[in-house]
Amino acid sequence: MELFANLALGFQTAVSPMNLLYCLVGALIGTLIGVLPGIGPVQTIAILMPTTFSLPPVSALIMLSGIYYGAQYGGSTTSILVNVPGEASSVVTCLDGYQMALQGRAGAALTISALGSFVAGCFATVVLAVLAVPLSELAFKFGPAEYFSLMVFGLIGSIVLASGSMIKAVGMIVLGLLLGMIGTDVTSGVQRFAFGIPELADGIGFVSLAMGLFGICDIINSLEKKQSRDILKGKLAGLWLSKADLKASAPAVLRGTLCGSLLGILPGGGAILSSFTAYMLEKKSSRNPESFGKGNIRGVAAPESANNAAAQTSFVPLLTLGIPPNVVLAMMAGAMMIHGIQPGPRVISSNPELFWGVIVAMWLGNAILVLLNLPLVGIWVRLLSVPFRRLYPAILLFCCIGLYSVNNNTFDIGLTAFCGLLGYIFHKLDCEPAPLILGFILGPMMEENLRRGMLLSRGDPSVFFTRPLSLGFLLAAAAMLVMLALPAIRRGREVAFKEK
Amino acid sequence: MRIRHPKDFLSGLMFLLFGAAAVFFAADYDMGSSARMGPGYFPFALGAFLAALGGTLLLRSVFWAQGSRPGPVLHLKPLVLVLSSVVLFGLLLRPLGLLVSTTLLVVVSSLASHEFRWKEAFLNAAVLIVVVLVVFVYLLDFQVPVWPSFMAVRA
Amino acid sequence: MRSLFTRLCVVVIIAAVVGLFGAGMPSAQQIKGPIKIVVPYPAGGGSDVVARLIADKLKDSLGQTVIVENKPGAGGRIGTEFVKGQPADGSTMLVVNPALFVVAPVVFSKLAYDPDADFAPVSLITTYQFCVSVPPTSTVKDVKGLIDWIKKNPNQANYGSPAAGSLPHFFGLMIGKAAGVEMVHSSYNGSGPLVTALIGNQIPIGVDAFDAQSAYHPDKIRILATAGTTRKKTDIPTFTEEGFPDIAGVGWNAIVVPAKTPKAVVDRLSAAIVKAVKAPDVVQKIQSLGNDAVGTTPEAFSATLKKDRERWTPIIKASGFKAE
Repeated sequence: MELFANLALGFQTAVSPMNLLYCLVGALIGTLIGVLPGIGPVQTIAILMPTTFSLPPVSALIMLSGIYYGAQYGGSTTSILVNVPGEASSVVTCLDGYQMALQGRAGAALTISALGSFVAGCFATVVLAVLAVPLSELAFKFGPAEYFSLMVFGLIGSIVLASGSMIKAVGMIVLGLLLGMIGTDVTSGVQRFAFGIPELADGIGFVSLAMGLFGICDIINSLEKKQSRDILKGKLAGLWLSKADLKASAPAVLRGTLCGSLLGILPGGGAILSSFTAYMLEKKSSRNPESFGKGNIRGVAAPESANNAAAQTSFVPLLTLGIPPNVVLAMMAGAMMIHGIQPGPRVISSNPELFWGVIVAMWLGNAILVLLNLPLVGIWVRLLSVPFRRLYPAILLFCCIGLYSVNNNTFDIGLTAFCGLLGYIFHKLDCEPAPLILGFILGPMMEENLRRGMLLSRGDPSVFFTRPLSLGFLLAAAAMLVMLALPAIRRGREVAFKEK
Repeated sequence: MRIRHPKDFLSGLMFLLFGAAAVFFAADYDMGSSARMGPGYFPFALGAFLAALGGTLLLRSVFWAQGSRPGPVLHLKPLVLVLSSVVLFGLLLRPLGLLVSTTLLVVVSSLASHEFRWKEAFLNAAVLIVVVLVVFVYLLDFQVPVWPSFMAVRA
Repeated sequence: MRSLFTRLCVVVIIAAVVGLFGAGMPSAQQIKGPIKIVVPYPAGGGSDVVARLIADKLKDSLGQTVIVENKPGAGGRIGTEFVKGQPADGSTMLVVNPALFVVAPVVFSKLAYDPDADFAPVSLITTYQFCVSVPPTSTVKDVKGLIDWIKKNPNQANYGSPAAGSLPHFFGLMIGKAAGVEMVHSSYNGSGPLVTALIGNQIPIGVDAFDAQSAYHPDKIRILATAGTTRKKTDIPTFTEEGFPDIAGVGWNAIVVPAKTPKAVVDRLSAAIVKAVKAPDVVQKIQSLGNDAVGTTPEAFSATLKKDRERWTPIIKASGFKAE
């Protein structure tokens, strides 16, 4: 079997003591930095990349992918413990993970996040090894029409993220789309809503927005409550998962893994959508969807697995085609180029030891991470026993320094404070921020593909309906809209009856 | 006329204002046609939709809402203190360096807590400064000014 | 300890020399370190890689610590504006390209810097070529075929570039001009998405930097021609060879310093950079990135800049492209 020969070659490369060490160091550093609130994988890799320049290429890539996964693990930890998502995919982890932490079940949330990610990582590594080349063809089927319809589908689905009024959820999505328009328009190169501020030419940074709407806003809200927030003291029992937890989350992990493995392959929106989609699937398929957003363990297990599976399979376009599907992988591609390796279809044939070595190292990295993280769970949870009055200034501080480091610019710090104010207003008005975040991320891509689709078809909108994949997404979106609207209308009536 | 759902009313107002602002500014950009959409097309349409949505929410809260719900309760102290501590940090990091701005951030934000104690806040600031120096400056080699700019030797 | 002692000695000697020949005047021979090369883009990009390669060599020839600092934002304009305000003593250099120095002055009505008044040229370090390519399933086999195809199918004559307002964007307009057809331009969010669209046959023509497309096997992307004076690959002709000498132009990376930097310092930096760029291992690494190592005097860079402005400005103006 060629596959086994290839994997053997990969193991040979990755399991040298030096490379194992780099893998471990990368995973460890990635976790530690990822844990700092406000620093997600993107900044972590940007910060640490120069340190890998002096290493041999394989070791450098192994270390970088270790950092990537480590930062993702670390980012989930921060989402669960202090409600600060380091990147788009951990936004949904906040929804239930943080609630679990508030209920004293942070240990269980962290454990399932680590285990789920590991299962997903193992599965996705196999997918990557076996199907990398055929799967890469999937990305070519996606033209502007398909991307646009996929975004519509994702946005309609994101209504599920909110538990309150549907009309407000739609409003928040549209507001998010509009916030995403700020900055340089991809299609025309024109700066919109930037008001002459050069820092706004690249738009609002995701980190600023997420940190303001989630982290800072949550700190302010906790301070408003007169009683101290240290409810976690003495309730740290249950570090490990209960049987019920396991039973609930095992299928969720599997669904999330599948979902993430598939979506991760799409360049652009795929990896971001994966954790959202997995969460929506869980909530929609659950018998009591109301329990989501209030600490349902499935709401942590599914998106965390999806997120990690997608992180793994998003290497497919990079390694097979040389197309970096997201910012993190664009930096990895840059790192490969620094080492004189042109990422792309030739990597498999010209540097097989590199290709398979990295794939095996990914799996090893995941294994190391789970070993590393399970004992750490206890330490992280203990972090929560630090009195809140001492903890929150630290969170604010780390956020600020992290923000500064992204662009060596203090503008982002001010912007985050502004987003915190927005988040506060949203919270007071019962407008939930998660749909806004998804709109913010998908908005620019959706507009770009809508405009490109119309441009290339010379203004004929039928392209969106005549291409089968695109039509499929649109039909699914319509079906979902009906599904969402029906219970909302019914519930509205019930409430009306009760109040009469 | 009484507003029964103040939160819905205010949300509607907020969406309406954001939508109107988007429409107002997007009108300045080239609209193009649906075949060749200009940079103004999509935000204009979104803004109009958001404004309409906000208007609906607003009217609904006045005319069609059943029952009545409490309005939002605001506590300005934590809001102002936490946000201004962050803004201060941003403004002072460059001129005054990490040590001064960290201390200010920690102390000002700590003021927002009802369990505030001066001594503890300063102690906390001191501990965090050590952590920041070790982690960010020493280990990660961040390009952050540590000392006030007038004291620093150009490094 | 010895190195500290040596450094102390150097400092004392410099202080003495500076004291003798007038305090505050930067000496022609010694540049105050550490020297920063500011890259106005995120780490890992093309110009960042080149800057790091050169920084490594400059350390030895200048005898100073040379660090690369990334100051990304606003398509490079934030970093450029930042360097404008840095001390003009040779301790801060900036990596620039045609987008910042040729295109931006034309398309921005309010640009926070003036390429000529705020900066002094040091050296042009690398060039890269543009190429035009088609999907593998396309019936078009060469440039002539492409021009014919555009003439026959003006309604499908769409081309993609990696960004609106980039040189490939305007380069594509030259091709349309040669065919007498106003081609529809669609900008992608970088080379990656453009390549995907080309391979998947979502767009019929792509214009991009050669190095971004050359990594693909001809059965994925068919490159019709490159735009330089010489062939980049033996089996891919240039536009001139194909009979279209008007379709020309190359991209470049160059180094500039704040305008008031003394001429002696500029010349010393320029000489050191030329030496670094021409070091065999650097040449080889730059080539593996798909670029060509050049290394010029400040005057030669000035001349190229002037020529490029004459070439591109009318095309950009005619396109009606405005960023604000």
